[in-house]
Amino acid sequence: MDESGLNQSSKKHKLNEEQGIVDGNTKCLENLPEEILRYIISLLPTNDAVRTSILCKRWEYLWTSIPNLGFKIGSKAKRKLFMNFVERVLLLHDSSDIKQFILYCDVLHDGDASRIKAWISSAVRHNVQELVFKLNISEEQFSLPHCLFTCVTLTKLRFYIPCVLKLPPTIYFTNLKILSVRNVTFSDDHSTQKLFSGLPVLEEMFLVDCIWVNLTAVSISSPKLHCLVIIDDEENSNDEDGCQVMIFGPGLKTFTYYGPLCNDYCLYNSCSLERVVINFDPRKTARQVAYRMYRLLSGLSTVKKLKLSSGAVEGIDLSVNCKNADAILDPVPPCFLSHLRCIKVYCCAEVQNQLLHPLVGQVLEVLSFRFSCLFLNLPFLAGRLRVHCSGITSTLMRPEG
Amino acid sequence: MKFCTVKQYFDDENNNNVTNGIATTVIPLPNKHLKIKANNKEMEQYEQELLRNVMPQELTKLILAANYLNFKEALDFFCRTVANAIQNKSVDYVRKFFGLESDFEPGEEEKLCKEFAWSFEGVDED
Repeated sequence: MDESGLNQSSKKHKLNEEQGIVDGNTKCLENLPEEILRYIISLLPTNDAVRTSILCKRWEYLWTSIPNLGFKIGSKAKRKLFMNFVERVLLLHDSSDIKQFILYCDVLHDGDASRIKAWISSAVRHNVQELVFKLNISEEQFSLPHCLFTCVTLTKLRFYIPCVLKLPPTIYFTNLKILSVRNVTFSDDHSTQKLFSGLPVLEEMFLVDCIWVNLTAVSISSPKLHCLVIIDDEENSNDEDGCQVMIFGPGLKTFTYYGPLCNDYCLYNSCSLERVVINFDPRKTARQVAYRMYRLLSGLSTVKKLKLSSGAVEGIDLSVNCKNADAILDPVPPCFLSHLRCIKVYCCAEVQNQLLHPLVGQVLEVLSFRFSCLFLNLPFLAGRLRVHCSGITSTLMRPEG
Repeated sequence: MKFCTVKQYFDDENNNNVTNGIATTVIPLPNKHLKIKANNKEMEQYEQELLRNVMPQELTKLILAANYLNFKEALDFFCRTVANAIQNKSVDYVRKFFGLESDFEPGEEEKLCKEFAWSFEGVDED
């Protein structure tokens, strides 16, 4: 009690003392210690952070240690200003690490390309951890600086480069966990395989709208990969032969595919696989495509949850009913009988019962349909199976008894 | 753990000569700590409240107190409040907010403006 009394009086004393100081000094925020000011600046978007240099002399270089840099080009008219700005910021940035570097820019001619490569090299030299770039390139091919591909500090890399990407001879991303490649045209088997093999600790991979026409066979085999998403564009499915993509995924838990199955995707050794989404629209009912669907499903040995588009279900039908000499022995992929617990079919207009028959195994517990299902006749269903229908109209017919 | 630090601060204060005026803010600070642990929506509302009612001077004290007490979440929160307050605002606004005056030579300021011209696009007028 006494102690608190003492505290009270000493505080009062300080208050009075201070009152005088406070009244005279209105520049309180400015008197924050430098590290705190730098921290506040680091929370701002890059443009705002750099603008603080103009506040007063003390602030002129406070921003130069910001760890996250983001540059997104706006209107084309301000292009020159934008390029000069990025250049200047990188020049003035001090030697502290750049954690995140984001660049959205267009590359109109060679001069731009060499500048952008210099910027990326600069980020790598600053031990960048997360690199995101979206480059609108008007050239046919583009190459990134070699130092990027051996960057030790990089953990996340996302790029959108809509042209042929020339890859360097040595690719090894010691710490890369997430890789997202968009709209890239792979140039040849050898270098693409180098890329897929140089990812020792990769956990998530996204290959979106890539162009595989120049490839014949590649394999993806990162041991720690647990999530793989491949999205192919409808328009790029001109190639009849396609590329053979072998996916070795001992640690793979989820696999998602959207597209026309223009390549032959096969999963091997995927004993951890739990959830698979296949959205396939068989515009071309080519036998080859059906065969690819079958091959894809054959690799799903332990999958528990399978989400299929109606097109995928049709694709299964095609593959199951292949009466060709080329067709493989067992028509039904083994996983469906022993592991598959839940099937979700979405975007279906009409589902014929016989299409689903091969999928229904002993352990199937949930069969779920979304959007409009016009007619369902499922006589083969066991009693314990729960069927959900959600959508516009659904008519479910079940067997008597 | 946090209350121990606060108690220790009180003890220290008796012994050291801490004169940066943190005293007035330390008492309300624990209440604010509890508020900060609330969900995001409440935090946003609190941030708005802070900006409206608390003068920059008070905010300084809060930041310094959080820093002294090594209370990272509070420090982070108050700094973000400041950052959000000055985002996309004009140079004059930010100067007023921090209580700064330009000490550049007449030509220097314009030179800086020109160098970083792109970043001045689309800034809020006062």
